[in-house]
Amino acid sequence: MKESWLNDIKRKLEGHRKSPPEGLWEGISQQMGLENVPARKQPLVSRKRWMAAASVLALLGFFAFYFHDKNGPQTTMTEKPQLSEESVMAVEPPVSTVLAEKEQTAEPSASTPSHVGKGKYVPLRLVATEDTVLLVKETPQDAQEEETLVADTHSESPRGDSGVEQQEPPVQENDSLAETVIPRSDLLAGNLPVPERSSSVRSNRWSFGVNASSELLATQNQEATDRVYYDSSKQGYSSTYNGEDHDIYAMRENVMSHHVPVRLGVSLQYQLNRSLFLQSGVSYCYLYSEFSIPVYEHARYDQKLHYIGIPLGVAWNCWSSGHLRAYLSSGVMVEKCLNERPWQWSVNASAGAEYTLTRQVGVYLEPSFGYYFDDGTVFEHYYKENPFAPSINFGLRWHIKN
Amino acid sequence: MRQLYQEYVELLSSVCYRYVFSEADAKDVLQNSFVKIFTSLPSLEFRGEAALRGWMIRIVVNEALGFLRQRHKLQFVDKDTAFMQQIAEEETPDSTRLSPDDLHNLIRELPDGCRTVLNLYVFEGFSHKRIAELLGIKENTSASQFHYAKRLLGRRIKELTKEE
Repeated sequence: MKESWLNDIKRKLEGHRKSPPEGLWEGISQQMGLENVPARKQPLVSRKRWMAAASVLALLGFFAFYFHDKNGPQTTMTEKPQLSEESVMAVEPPVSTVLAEKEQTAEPSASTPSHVGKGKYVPLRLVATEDTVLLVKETPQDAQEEETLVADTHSESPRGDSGVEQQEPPVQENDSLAETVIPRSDLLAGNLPVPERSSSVRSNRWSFGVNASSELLATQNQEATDRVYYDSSKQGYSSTYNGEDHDIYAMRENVMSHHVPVRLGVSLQYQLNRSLFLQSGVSYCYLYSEFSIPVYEHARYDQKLHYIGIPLGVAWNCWSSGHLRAYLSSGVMVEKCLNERPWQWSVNASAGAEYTLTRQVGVYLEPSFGYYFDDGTVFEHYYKENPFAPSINFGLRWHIKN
Repeated sequence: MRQLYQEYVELLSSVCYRYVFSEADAKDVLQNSFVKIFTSLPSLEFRGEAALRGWMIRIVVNEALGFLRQRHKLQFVDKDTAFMQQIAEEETPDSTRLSPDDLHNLIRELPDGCRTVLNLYVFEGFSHKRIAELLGIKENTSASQFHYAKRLLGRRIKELTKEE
């Protein structure tokens, strides 16, 4: 056979060995994150620095907004005014005794505690009858009006233990403590009324949730296709090519099939104030891909990557009404591959809506948009092909009672 | 992994250098090849050392082809050039006096396009139809490029054996 000399060459070269390029094993170790890993590649460092700077700026802006927020936590609304029996007794007869303490002009009662009227307690005026007490929140205007009245009537009506105050207390708007009639026994027991809380003001600081998400780009199968344009550089031979479509070559390198990622997680949310929430939690992601090499069709292999990640973000409650609230959130997430070495960084932004089923439980839906940074490895997976990944998150949220 | 690497790296380097000329390019190809090999090993069904060896060689070949396409290095010789016309139909060259290293180097000297066709036809055993599909060329082109590779290689073998 004319080509037998080629077969001879093939047989000669079958067992041929050649020294590998210098530094090959080091490059493999670095790429796979094996032992004796050298310093990280410069692009990865600069990318992490950029992300760190962005995170710091985001945190600074967040805390600046938080500390300038005038609507702080409404904790005072849950506190009951503390009144001891002494202070109750001290304000009987109520009006003139309190005013006298402030003005330091009236005859002090022997039983009057020194702290009465000096702001230790919620400023309340007790207008007492024999069996009931009328609680009136005292304002500087009230005090001034009372001063006038007392000055006018002090000489007219003698003081007694059970005086009856006929003066109408001033109307306090938007203050449920303005006028409340309670039994005297409840007052002595400290059972003072607490205003009802509106449904839009949340008293639950912590929230715990479980969630799942689904990517919206359902790329079940992808083919990596390279197109190379004919290059006419000279190497001692003319390199023209006759025939049709001679300027374009198309070749299928390999066929990759990236399945839609499976993502589950538990979330933790902390309410900073009426509209701002801090979010974190733990996330699990499963990436499954199948590869086949067209050169040898029977050579197939698959890849299973498991990631555990920690998200960190903030959410802003932009609207709420009744059982429904809408919010915007953004954050960053870092994930670690459990069976390989790469770390996966991503940022995301979402707009969510939560429907409160009960006072403590709600369901939510969050269309989200994320960007997954290149992890710097050769691993091909879903997020390498789709770095901009829209998804939809859904889950349950439990608002832990304070 | 290190043991597997040490056992097969020289063999795979020889295969790689037949496709890729420069050492720097060969390092990139081999590095990516080994990463893919190590990544796929856990899910690979072991069917003997020969099958394992063949599988690894295929990965290297595929990586090399991808690299050549990516770097625009698939250049094909024009049969109508004056240079090619000077090379007469070669008789069967005698390569027995040349060492494997010499033959290996001669193959590496060939132009990228026809060298790739020669490697796929002779060493990987593909048909011209299959090569045409892989490289995105016509079957006739594959056959003609293989023909040119033979003539060039035969001429170089004769030149070397004459010198000796």
